[in-house]
Amino acid sequence: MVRKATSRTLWKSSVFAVMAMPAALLLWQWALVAQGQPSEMLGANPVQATVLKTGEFAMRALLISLTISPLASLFGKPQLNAYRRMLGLFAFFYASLHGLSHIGLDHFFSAKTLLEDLLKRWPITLGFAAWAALVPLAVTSTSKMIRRIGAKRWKKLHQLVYALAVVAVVHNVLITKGWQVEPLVHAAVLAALLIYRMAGRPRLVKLPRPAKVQQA
Amino acid sequence: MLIRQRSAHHVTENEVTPQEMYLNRRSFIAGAVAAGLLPASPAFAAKDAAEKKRLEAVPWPGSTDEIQTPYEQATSYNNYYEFGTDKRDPAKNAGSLITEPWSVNITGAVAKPGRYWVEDLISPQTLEERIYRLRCVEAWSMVIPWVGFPLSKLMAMVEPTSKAKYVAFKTLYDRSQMPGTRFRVLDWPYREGLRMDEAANPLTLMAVGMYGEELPNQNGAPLRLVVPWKYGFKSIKSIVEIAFVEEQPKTSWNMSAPQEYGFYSNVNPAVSHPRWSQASERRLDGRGFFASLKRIETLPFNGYADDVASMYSGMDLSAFY
Repeated sequence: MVRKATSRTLWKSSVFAVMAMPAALLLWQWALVAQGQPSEMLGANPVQATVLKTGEFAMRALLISLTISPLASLFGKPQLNAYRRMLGLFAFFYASLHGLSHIGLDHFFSAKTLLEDLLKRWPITLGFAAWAALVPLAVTSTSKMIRRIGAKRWKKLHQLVYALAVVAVVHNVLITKGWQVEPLVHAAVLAALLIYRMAGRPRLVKLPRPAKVQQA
Repeated sequence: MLIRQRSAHHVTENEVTPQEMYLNRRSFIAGAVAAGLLPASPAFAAKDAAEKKRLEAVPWPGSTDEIQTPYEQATSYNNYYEFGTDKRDPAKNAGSLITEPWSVNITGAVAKPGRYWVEDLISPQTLEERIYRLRCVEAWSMVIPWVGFPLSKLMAMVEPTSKAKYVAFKTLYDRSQMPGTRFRVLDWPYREGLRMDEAANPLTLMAVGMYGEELPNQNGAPLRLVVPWKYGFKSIKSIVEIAFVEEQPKTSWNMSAPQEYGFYSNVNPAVSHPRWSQASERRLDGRGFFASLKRIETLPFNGYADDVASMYSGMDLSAFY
């Protein structure tokens, strides 16, 4: 039992390290830029690159977090579901960095720009809405909150993630100039995930008998 | 008084590759590749593209004296979607563009139509060095010393007729040279256009070089347009066709999103883009970290109003954006 727990901790730390890597990389590249050194990742316009990169990371973290439960059902590995919370929180973390870098770094917290973004530039409005919908999910992500709200209601609340993912992908496609490949790949991945859900989560592997399921 | 500032990349005469060696560089390189001394890689092609011939140019009195964008930034941060949509892609991928030989098809309402070698269009011209501001629709800007000649000089050569009301330009579209065109990011080939009076305006430049050298491929070699009072995407790169036409031509970004990009696309802080405020811009001039955080105010017509605003008198510029 002790060995199992250690192995899970190890796995969780590894996933955490991988997901935190983009942020670490970004921080390191900004340290270079601050010292007047060239950064391959941030290029000639570090502010614009930061806004774009954090948006990319947020979109990918969100899609990765949504891929977990279909993978768990598909391959009969419910223990994978233990990673959803961390991945979802990373999506919220990168989405927050994305919004902050746009309004803070790019526009110096200009209230006028924020207001115009929300009222006049609706591709940005959609991005903001997707982030705002992540807030209650992040706040209620603790085990304590699940108990307080009740599993049933909690589950219902957290189904919001599918709707906000659609909004986020639409934001991604609309905010990008022309028909670029990456946002369309994100849209395709999300479409596949939603279709899988609507098809009743078909399985490739039969679930093991409940007695054999590892408890968290 | 004209003070000549030598930029960091300036090379003196004795550092320059001898001309005969430069002219034979392809055979020299091909020999080295054949002998197995050099890898036949795209990275090498980019290096080849980097050694550009210096150009003789007369300084133009109207040049801005603002701090110039470093060569390194102006050649590694580009929107040239035929070579990829990331800003760094053109510098990485444009080595595959073959700019010699290059011809330009001049067609339409013109007395001397035909397929011209690009050398034949350039060699009769006196090249000028003009330092212009370049304002991208993405709200960043650069200051670039172009080398070129006014489009009006080219028009005088080929003699458009009175039927010509617009000039339509096309960029090369060749999948084998342009990896980004595998994806239909835009409806290729890239197209742009100007009204005849805009084309004839003394500011409208056909650029063949920048920073005293031939244009790097990622900046639109061997021949590109520079229209400094319009958003950067109007300044079409690597031109293969110039057509003098009666109707307002279709232009690529307008075809892609007509409510966002108008035919005119004059720099206008009062008209917001649906996805960016156009009131201010980020000047990319290599002044370091804190300067890179600061935004500056965007000027109507990118600060060239005195020279161009009269062409649009009586037009509602929020309707004809």
